[in-house]
Amino acid sequence: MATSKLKTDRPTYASDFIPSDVERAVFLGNPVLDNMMTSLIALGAEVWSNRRRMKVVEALLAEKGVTAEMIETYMPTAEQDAEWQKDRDRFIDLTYSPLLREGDLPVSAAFTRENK
Amino acid sequence: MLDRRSLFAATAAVGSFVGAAFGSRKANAATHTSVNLTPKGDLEPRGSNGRLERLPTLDLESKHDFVSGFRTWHNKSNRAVSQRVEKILTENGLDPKGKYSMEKVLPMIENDHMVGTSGRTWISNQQVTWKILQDHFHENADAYIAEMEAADNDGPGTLELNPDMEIPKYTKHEIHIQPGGYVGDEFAGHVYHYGTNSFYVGAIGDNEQDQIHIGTIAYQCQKTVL
Repeated sequence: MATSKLKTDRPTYASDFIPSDVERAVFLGNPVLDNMMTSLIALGAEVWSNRRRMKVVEALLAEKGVTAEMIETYMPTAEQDAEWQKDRDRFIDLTYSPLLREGDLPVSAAFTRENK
Repeated sequence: MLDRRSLFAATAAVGSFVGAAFGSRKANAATHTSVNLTPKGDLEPRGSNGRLERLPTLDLESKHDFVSGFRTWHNKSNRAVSQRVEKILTENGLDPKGKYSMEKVLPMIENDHMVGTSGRTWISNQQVTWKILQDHFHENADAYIAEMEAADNDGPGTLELNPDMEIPKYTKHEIHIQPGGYVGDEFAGHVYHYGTNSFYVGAIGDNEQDQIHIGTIAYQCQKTVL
């Protein structure tokens, strides 16, 4: 994974080091699969971060009188429902549409398309 | 590519100092205490939990919580992978309880998808563990270094490191695949301190209050007395 830039103009005292070769490691026979696994774990961390923040928000809301039960039993308005479903469909399309890609062309294949 | 082993070293960690970048946040000015050993005037944006300064943002703390949980799950799921390896060894006419060189065993297992997935997810999770921490400290480097300098100047003594000291080669490797290793990154101590807490919870147990280190010392003292 790429190393982020150190944001400071102050003098620092790190030494030189010997980098590992883990960035080149392939465990699953195809680096794409390896990379996707890393992405999946990073995505999990992002999703969990959101969910954990939601728990904090709910806990604070509860202190202000908005209870977990009120959240569970909340009935969206028709307008809200329509808006949320639209966003849900966008989410599903973005996330799962790539599964439908046929992908039958090797990278080394010659370009053979003509103008339509 | 599986012939890599990471040694789990229970080394002492370096405390961290959280600072001025979070001036706009609600911060607690900590006094010098024997509990968390923060220097006088140290700022902890989210306070301390016992001896441990809480990670400076909820987002970072939550991501760290995730990778720690993933590591615990991974260690448990490794039992299935161990059984898988034993099965492969048996199928190759080897006693699964026998001792063999990596060179002998690797060709038998390196293309197995469960072994590969186990190795890949373990490495990937560790890479994410390091990266989220390092990214944060790099992004806020100026404030953290200023904080450390302030602690340095607070006295009562001084610590001067020899800039001409020859760093032994064995210390220059990226141990635990920590980016930059222990000598090549300005925040190696910060990153190690928090990052290894996920190692402990996944392998030995909770160490956020240095329980394991304290327990180790207590055990050694007891042995000495006896």
